Amino acid sequence: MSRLAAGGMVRRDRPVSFQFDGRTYQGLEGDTLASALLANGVRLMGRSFKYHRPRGALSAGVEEPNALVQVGQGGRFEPNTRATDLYLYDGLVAESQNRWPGLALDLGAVNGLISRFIPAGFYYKTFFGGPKAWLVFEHFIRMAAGLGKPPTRPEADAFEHRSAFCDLLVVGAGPAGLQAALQAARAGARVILVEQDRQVGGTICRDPALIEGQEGLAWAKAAGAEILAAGGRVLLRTTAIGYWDHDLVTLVERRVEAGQAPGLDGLSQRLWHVRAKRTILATGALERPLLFSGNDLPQVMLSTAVRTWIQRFGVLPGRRALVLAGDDDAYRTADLLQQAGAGVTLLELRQTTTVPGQPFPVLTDVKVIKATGGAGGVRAVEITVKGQRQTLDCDLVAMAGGFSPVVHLHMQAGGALDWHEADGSFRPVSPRQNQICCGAANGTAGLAETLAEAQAEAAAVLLTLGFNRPDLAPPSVQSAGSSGPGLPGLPLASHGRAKTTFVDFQNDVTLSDIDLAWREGYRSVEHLKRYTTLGMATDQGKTSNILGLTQLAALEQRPVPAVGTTTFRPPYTPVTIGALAGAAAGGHSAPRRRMPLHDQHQALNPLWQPLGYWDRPRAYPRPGETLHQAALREARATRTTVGLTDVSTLAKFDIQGPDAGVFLERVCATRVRQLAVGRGRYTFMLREDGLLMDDGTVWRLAEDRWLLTSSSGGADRMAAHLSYVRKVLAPELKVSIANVQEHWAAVACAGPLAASLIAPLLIDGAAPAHMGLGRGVLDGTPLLVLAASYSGERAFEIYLAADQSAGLWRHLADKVLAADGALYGLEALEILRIEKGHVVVGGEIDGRTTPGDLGMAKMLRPGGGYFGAQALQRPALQAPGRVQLVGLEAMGSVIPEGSMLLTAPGAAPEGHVTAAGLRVLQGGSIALGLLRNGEARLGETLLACSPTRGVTTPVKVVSTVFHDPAGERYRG
Amino acid sequence: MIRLENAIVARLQVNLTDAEALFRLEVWDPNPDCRARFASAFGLALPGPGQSVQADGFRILWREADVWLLTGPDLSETALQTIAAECGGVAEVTSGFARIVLQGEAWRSLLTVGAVLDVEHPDFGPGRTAATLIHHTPVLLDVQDDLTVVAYAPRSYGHEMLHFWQDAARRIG
Repeated sequence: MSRLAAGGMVRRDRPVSFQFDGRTYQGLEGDTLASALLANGVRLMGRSFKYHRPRGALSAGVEEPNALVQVGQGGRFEPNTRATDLYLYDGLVAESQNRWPGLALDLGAVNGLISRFIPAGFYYKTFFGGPKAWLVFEHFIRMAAGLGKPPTRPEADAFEHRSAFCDLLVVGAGPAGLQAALQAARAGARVILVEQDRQVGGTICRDPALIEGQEGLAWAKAAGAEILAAGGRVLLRTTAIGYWDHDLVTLVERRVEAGQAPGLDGLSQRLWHVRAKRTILATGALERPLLFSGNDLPQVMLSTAVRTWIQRFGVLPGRRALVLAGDDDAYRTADLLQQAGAGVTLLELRQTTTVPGQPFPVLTDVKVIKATGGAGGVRAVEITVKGQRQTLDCDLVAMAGGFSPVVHLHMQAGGALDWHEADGSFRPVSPRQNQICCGAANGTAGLAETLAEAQAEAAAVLLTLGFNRPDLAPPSVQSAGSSGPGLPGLPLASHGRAKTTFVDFQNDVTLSDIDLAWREGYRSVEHLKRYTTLGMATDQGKTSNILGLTQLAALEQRPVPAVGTTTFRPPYTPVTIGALAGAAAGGHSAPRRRMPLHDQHQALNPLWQPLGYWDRPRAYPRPGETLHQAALREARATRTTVGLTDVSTLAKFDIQGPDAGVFLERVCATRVRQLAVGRGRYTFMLREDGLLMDDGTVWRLAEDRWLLTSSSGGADRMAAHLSYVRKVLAPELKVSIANVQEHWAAVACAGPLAASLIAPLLIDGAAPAHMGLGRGVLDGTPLLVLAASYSGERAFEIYLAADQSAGLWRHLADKVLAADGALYGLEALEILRIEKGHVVVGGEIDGRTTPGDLGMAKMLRPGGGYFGAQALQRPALQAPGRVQLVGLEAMGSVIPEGSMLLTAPGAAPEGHVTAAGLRVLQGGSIALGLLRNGEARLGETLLACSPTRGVTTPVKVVSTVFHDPAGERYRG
Repeated sequence: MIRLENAIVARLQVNLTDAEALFRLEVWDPNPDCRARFASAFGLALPGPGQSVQADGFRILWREADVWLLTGPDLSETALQTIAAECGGVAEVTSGFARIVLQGEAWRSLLTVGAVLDVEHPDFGPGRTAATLIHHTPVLLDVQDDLTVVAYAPRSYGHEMLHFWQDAARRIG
């Protein structure tokens, strides 16, 4: 056991039982999985991606590239979870991944023996040679790809999205973030403070200090409590994963740990959309590893991680420690290790001969050649001291390679970076949005300096927001621990074998891989990244990118900033798909709009069809009937007796006012104003570019009141279009436009018997003539009856308030069925309209066709004046050779919908089939299609070819109207 | 972290079939005399953007520029048309909306779920309306008092929104 007798922020009175690779261990409340494993002497936590090298925890935080595990079971299974960012809970079940048969003995490690054959980009080289060779390679590459296993069960728990707005968003509740948020909260600003850890404090958790005379952590907790008390929101275990345009920041709040069952609310994670007036990014800095052969062995870890294990978790990770000082931070670590009882030697890697006054041995003028060891961890480090080679035994190596500010969010917000040669880091500059960085994220070192900077930055932000800045002095600070000699950070230097000197630990990218890529011509950092996979693992190169860049710059003999950086893409840390989906899963994956008669349809057990967000009956099959049989029966009943269908989803607009007619003629491309009261007309509308947008009917209800209907699928678009025309193009008109799509339900009654069924409902007892309207009443409910036909039969659309529509449906359905008619759904509706040659939005009106293309040019209003009229005159829309609507009749097998129209096998397509159906009573496959110069090609024989169905069949080009060309049936 | 939502009960009520009559008024004439005409008839002025007012027996909600919704048990289209006269148009939309009542102290928290509106802003209180999108659904919110918000969703989305909010309310507590 490596647990210290005292210390740490864990609850020693609360043991927690957990499993790792099938074995049960005990940790303490407050432990991470990694700290608990270390406390139990488990150093081997994972295997690397490519070479399956043994790996332990490199870090103690979210940047961890090595210690990835899969957690949970069933619907709570989560792969690739960082053991360093997973807090222990009772019953936690974790497994190592990417190993077989086990972690200690992994046969995949044989890859290390053949590493010379699988260098950077080897899989690209497998493309060389014939395709058959690739098929062989592909099998093995795919077998080897990936780390964890994907979940196989649906998520067991809930996720949701929430939004929040604030004056100031502070990302990071370390000293800088706390101080900034506290300042803002005291000023009365609306503050949101976000911290990815489960407690506030940040670096104070590992580096104790006295702030304002009190212990640092107590100060941090008091600050958090004060922010809350002032009405601020403090979100713990919450990571700012992305900074988007318009200062939108997305946060993922983990309500429970990976694999853990949530509380009564059932909520696992929450994705926040935060819109802040200002954002302070106090995201800290990440420590960099050092480059030497064997730097990836278990127990070779970051200097800050060592302090975290000791200070926060009360775990001493090793007893014979070597601390490699590429930065002054090493001295603090060495000091703490010594205090904790470990034997420590500090190896100063920078250019100095003496470092006096340290309580532990310090070797200077040191070069690290290699670390040796195995799955059990590092055992020794081979070095040169003043040029003399020697080997030091150890069981722990702490690497202090300097710090890189966490600038991911700053860069996602469009900021820029400035290179600081002295410490080898990029610092944020030129914020493009309303974000600023402060503290370590801004390259500021030292607790006192950080707090003072945060104080000043917050004050400046508050001033811009119009808040009075409290006149406070920055908190006083007294830090503990050794401060080191104050030498500049170590530039990249490696003295060992490049093949085993790891830059990207997770993707097994070594120095030699970078060298190879460069030799092979990959000089751009973006190419290097993709060729070597540097920084492309789940850790997104948090510990590796800067090392890789520096190596590339050295090879290029150019300054690092001249080499550039890769793109900092969201998310900052991996996000579960569940968090992105939120509540939009299962039955809530999209809204499902219900028709007013939904319950009446449901009682008939129809086949439902999603149409946009709508649920609509597709057909009402009888027992044993297929969809096709049911639809054909329904269509035939409509042709021979009577059919009833629900058309409530149609767009409907109540247009009133003295200028209503003028307005309609702006929108509709047909004649409107001449329409007599009580009459209606088919109409269509154009887009601004002159192409067809939608079609429908327009009815004159009274002198100054009209009803406009249009397609169901285009309803929202039409509502927006009418609003645009009204408010932008014609604000002077005295007209009101009410969208009554949902207020009015509508049913269509069609067929030879329709008029006789409808007539008793009308006040005057007579069904209106075709394209006439009548008024009726049923059980006191007013009815508007419009004589319009989509089926080709005598037909009526009956409109009434949706709340009252069930009674009308029942009334008519009873009469229809008693007359040997049928209720019909979308499938029959489609069959009927195809046979009649009616067009539909989304089929023939496909965003590319003009009225002329669909044979409707004669309906255009002479003189123009309607929306789209000018663009319709463009030569391209009048030119010969455009596709035109035609009918198609099968001369062989059934015409496949969507098939190409060819003059001969292999010829260029001349058009396509937009909708395929059949003759309702006579049988036979028919279709509508768009054919180049179609109107002039009646009688021609073409091939309808559908390669995806493997069908090619001859078709004859005919008129678009297959049923009642004279229109005698719908006129009655 | 202290969660403000704790120990708060959120209740939801649905009113689809017994909804009070609802009318849409669009004033097309910018003449101040027209506004005065409505103020005289209703006993108070038409509310400004983002606001609602309670008149005697009915409520007026600002909907969009020059458009208001009027709801109350005794309103009729004919009577409102008479008032509007040559100034504007009136259309009944009673059946067009599902009215979902969000009642309880947690309504602000509930409305942060899936919404993109600053419902937690101190100024968003009684007498305020807002048109927004929640769970893909266009919703008009009318804050009636400190504990009650009435959400107007298109009728077809009513069932979906009811369940969406009920699920969210269970998570809030």
